[in-house]
Amino acid sequence: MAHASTTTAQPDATETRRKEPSVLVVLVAHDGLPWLRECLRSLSRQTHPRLGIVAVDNASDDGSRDLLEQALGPDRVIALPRNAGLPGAVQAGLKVDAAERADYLLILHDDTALDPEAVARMVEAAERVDGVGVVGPKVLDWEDPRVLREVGQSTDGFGYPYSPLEEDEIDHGQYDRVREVLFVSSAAMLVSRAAWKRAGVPDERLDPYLEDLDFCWRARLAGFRVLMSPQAKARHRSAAIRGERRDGVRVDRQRLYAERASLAAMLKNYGLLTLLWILPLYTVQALGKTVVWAVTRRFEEAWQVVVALLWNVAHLPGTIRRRIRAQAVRSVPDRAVRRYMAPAGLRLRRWADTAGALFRRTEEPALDEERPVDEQEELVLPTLGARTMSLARAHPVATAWAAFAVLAFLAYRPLWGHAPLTGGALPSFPAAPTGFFHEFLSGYRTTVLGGADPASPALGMLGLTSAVTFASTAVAQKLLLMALPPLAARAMYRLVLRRTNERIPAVAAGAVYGLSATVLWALSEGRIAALAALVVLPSLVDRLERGFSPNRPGRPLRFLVDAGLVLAVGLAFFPGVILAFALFAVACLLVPSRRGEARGVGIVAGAVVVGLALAFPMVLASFGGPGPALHSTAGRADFASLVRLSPGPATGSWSVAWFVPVAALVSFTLADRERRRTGLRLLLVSVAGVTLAWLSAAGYLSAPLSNPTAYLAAAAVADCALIGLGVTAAIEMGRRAFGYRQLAGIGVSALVAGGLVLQAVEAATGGWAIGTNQESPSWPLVASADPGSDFRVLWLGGPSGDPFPAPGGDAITEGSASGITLRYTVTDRNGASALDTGRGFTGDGYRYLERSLSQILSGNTTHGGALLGPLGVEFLVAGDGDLPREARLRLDAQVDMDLVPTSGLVIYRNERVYPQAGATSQRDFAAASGSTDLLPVATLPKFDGSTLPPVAGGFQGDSPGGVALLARQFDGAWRLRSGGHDLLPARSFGWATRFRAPPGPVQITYAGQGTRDLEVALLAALWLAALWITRKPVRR
Amino acid sequence: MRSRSALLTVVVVVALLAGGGWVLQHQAGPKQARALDGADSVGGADDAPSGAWYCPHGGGKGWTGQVAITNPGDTDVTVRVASMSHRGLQPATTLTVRAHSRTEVDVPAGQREASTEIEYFGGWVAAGWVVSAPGTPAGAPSPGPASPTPEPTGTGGGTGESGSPSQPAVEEGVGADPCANGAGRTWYLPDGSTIQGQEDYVIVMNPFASEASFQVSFVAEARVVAAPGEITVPGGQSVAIHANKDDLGDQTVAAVVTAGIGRVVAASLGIDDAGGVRSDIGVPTLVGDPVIPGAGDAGGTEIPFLNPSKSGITYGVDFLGADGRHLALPHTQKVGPNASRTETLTATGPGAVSLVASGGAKVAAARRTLGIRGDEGSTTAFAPAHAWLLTSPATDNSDSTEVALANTGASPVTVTLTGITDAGPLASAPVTVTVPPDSSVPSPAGFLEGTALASVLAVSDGGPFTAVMTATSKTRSAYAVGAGVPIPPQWVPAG
Repeated sequence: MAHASTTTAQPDATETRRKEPSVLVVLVAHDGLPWLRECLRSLSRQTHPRLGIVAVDNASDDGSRDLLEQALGPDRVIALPRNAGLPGAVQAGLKVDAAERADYLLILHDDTALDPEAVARMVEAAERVDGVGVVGPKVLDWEDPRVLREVGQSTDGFGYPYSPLEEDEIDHGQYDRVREVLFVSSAAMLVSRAAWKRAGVPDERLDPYLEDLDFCWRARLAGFRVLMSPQAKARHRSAAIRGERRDGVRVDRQRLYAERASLAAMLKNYGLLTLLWILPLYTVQALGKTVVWAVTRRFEEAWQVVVALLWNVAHLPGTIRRRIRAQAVRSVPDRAVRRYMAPAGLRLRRWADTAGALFRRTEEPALDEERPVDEQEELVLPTLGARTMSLARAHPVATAWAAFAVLAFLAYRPLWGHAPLTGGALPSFPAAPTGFFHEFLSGYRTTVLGGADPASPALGMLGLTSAVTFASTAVAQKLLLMALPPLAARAMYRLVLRRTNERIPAVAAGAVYGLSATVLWALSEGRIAALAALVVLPSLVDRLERGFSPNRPGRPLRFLVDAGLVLAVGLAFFPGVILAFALFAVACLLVPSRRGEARGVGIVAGAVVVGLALAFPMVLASFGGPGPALHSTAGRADFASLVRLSPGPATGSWSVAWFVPVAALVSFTLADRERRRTGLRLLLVSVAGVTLAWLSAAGYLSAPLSNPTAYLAAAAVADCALIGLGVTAAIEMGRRAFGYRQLAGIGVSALVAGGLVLQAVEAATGGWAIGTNQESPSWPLVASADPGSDFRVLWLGGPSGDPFPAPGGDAITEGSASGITLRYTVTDRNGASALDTGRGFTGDGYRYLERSLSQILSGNTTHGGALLGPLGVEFLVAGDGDLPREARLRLDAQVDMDLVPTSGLVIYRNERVYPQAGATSQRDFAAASGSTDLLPVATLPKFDGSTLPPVAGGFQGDSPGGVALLARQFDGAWRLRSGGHDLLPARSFGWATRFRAPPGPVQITYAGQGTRDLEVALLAALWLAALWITRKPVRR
Repeated sequence: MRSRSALLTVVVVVALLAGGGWVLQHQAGPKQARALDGADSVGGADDAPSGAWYCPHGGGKGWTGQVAITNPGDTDVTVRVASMSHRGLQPATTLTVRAHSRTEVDVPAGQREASTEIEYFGGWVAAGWVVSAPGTPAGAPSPGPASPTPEPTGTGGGTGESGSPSQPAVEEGVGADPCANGAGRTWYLPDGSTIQGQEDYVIVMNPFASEASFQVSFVAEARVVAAPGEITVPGGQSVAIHANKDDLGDQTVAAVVTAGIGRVVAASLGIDDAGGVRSDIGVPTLVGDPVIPGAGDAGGTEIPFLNPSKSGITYGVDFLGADGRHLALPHTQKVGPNASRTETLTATGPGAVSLVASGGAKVAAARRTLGIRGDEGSTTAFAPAHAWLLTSPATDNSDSTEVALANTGASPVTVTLTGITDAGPLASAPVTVTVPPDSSVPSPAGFLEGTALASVLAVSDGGPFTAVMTATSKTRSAYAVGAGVPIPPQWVPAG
């Protein structure tokens, strides 16, 4: 424990006869007139016989000085010209002659009133216990003395204060023993002469917060004890913390003061060896804390942490000087001080203690043996199960998190370990966070078939995430996969909580959402973008509902920007989220609230405008060519599966998943009058979502509207929110007469509880598509081919909503030719890439790919390799058994594609592949590349030229003279530099880029980077503005 | 909304979901995927017709070879011809085959494994080979054009050749057959014999860049002999496997080539040391009730066939003459599983032989005949088709050629025969031949007189039929039979 009791010596006759020690009270005043009179009155009533008072006025201008002079006389008032803070005032007070003679110094705030016995009791404690340097009283609330405010304090290892008190804990004697603590408040702090002489005075730099921690820590290092004497009582107004002083502590900067004082105290007082291990840990937690606050838009708190760190860096010389002084008087090791610090994980342990206490009561009935039988019967305690329920009811959120921790430990087992993740539709992350930033800043697309469509802002977020996870993209990938499902559940929790103000239904809805087949499917297949959408969507719906509610949201601009920001995050990761958003918006219009439709429409429009503005490069690009990928091919056209929210086979998509739609439907019947319109909207979205998901998967919707995942996510949100409403209604049933609603409520509760348990068991024991070594054993044949060169992979398969074998990712689209239907995608050599997050796969290059595929599938050509050569496709890969037989025969017939002997995958290697950038003197290439016809391409022989390897900003190499070919979608901003001249590009093969390439060294560069730089700068400004507008206030 | 109306709503929703879902799932079903860009393009920018013919024709010391490429279409076609042997792929020659004409290209045939790859672009062409053994003793100067590839020394094949070439002292005759239009993993070669005086080779070519690995099983009448181990052929090379090395003294030695890695093309080459060359392309698929027409032969016919299935079959042989079908061999013959057999019969006049297996069992079969001036000819059986392009097996325009047609259908078919020469279609009008049901009819006498090298376009106006073309030299012991190649429907010339 952080606080230790000390034994007190028994008084004897000799001691009582001894001369009483003298105490000098240094009363520090600063604009404290409202409480100063009470403070002075309390001093005047002290029973301690030898008490001197010197008041230091810290430049008060509220009349405090006059009052002090009236009460104490001008000689005993030191008026400082400016506010020197508590340490400065104490130092001034110590300069008086009386200080040299005093045995004890009592530092006292002007908003503290002492009980008459307080000084005497503190002195008594100091005198009776050996080695005491500092004594503090039991501090009570100024207005309600029953409430405890301080009984001595501790810190954790990083110097963050910790009090054993609960909020507004009532004093009923539970702390009435002398306690040895790490530090006591300077509100009323008795310091022995020896202590201040040896440990020095409080550090004036740390004013106005936690200077008492540093002082007491130093006193402890010097070998003095710090006690809290409960017999000494004081009432403290805490005026500074409450912000009641006119120019006192800025309440919203408490974190800054605390952070800088904690770190400074650590730096000064810890031994070197301790610092060696604790400073890195401190840095990690400070960084993590900063990131979490930044992500949750608590920018000011994040900024205060940063400023505190910078302050300590700037003040390091002074800290070192003070450290030398503090360490010079050290007489105890760090471990002697750390005994009084709070252990790590204290909050968790406290919660466990609470839980344990409830369970331990089962042992207590043994005492009943001594009681009368009748009384025993009356005192029968609840069963263990009842206590568990009681605990869960009392702490539903904590219980849910604890359950999640256990579940996560089991379910995430494939994700632990250092091995990189593969499998499912998991996109590969670049080797370093800089990969994300390079792509984000790049004016041209470096992935797949290239082009000029801009990268999504999601790359910036992924890069930042990777940067803060020790610059490891692999760690970031795992972190995202593990964190997004609980975040999705939390978003649903907040949505329902705001609708119902009931935590248990909100927790239930969140848990159902987190364990829904949709979320588990996305997790199983490593669909980070879809998971992000599943996190964002409940938040969007929450804002939408609030927008359409009869009550006008406060701070409309902030609300609007906030909604737009959330939408932009969703768009950045998963553009299809706007389809789900639109579905909810339409439902709100069809089932409007009694008031608020017009405002709702305005808010939706505003949010969409803000959201689009925050993703404006993607939006602008969609007008001029390739745009964001609204559509998705993921998801099977299986209606029954979709109704239970499962887009495809995965853990959690079994029959048990039916409990969600069934419970949602029953819940709808329970919605009361207040929530009936909300329920109807949700029901509408649920039915429409499932239907649209099927229509998407079955190919009935046009590409921009076709996204099974988005619609199913909407249905999942709607179902889970309905369940939240249903559970709320079930909880409220007790107040009504028994009938259908009670039965239905019980049914919903049973369904949800049973479904959750079974889904949790399934999640804990089932397998995931992602994990370590989830790729086909044959994949290395492709992955390790032609080391150092870039090539592309064409993935083929029969029509389905499943991803390709890892790492192929999802299909771009499905299409048919000559009765053969295929789904396909094209990737770089590493497979699907996270760099393509939020981007589409459209453009002339993809059209060329389709034209070539048509020729191959129709059997019209047997030179498919030559046709695919300009695309840089070196391998065609299909899952074993995934390729239709006819397609396999067509591919087998290609004369320029070799069938690679493998198992698990069907792999063809293209003999006629070109490099991504190359130059050749072959005349056939010059002629064929100038045409849009496929026939000249089919006749092309094997490429025989030089490869132009990639360099920063383009490609570079030697040209044999002829034509330089760049296998990237045409963009007029490319330039070929040769002999000091820039040559303009032309279209090759109707889609790619080519140059006339003179012999000699050539360099291909991109001249359009400036535009992208401007875009990024503007985008950054918009995001910063939006984040600042929507920042969350500092917590007090 | 009260509970009752809410319940009603839920019931309606459930009914809608269940009913609508059932209708969507089971009645509507997933929509047919959209057509890929260019899927319907014919003749436009997206149209890139191309293909390849693989000709594992083989050869020998002093042999000459030609591939004849015929373009029956309306547009010129670019072709690229490249030869290969165990020494690799030779540089390709590119040429254009004009519309409605044929072109003959000399190819190296100085090695047993000599093979040729023909790629074509912009249309469709047919290709067939003719290899000719001069009849000179081994080591004597070759009468044909000089072979650009060195003559084999020691073993005649490339990697994996399992036998010594042991070429007979005199090799004379002509072998011809169409090339294969694709590579595959399994090839059946029914025509082989290793009795005394017969040398049998399996020519395997790997036209791809990566190496291929395959196994050869020699299936005799009573046993199966697998050539030892997997044979690996590097990309762009061909090999010859000498069957006599593994199986000696069998009347029928069919071969099955099975590629474990990659895809290959296989053909058989038979040499009779008494004079005679047979050259047959392998078949990748089996044929039910195969029918093989014949003409211009001396009357003796052998039908080697292979039953690669796991069960035995009962079969018989019919002879299809101009007057209909006749029983040539009772339909009570039996052959065991994974076994081969050669049936011999004497035909009177031109006609087709039909191997009729019970239960529609499929086999790989060939017809081996003897020319009237000596030399053997053979061809494998293909399934009937509506249009054929027959590449002439003649070596000289003065040869005597005949086209034999067979119709196993229930209705007569009228076939229009059009000769295609180097200069274009024959000046004479196309010939129309009506083939009665279950009959075989030769082309009219005088057809292709003096233009024996001409290819023949044979198009039916009704049902499918089978066609072969034979050529007999008037000056030497040379006789060859070549099957036609079916013309893909989209490339059958109009009219």
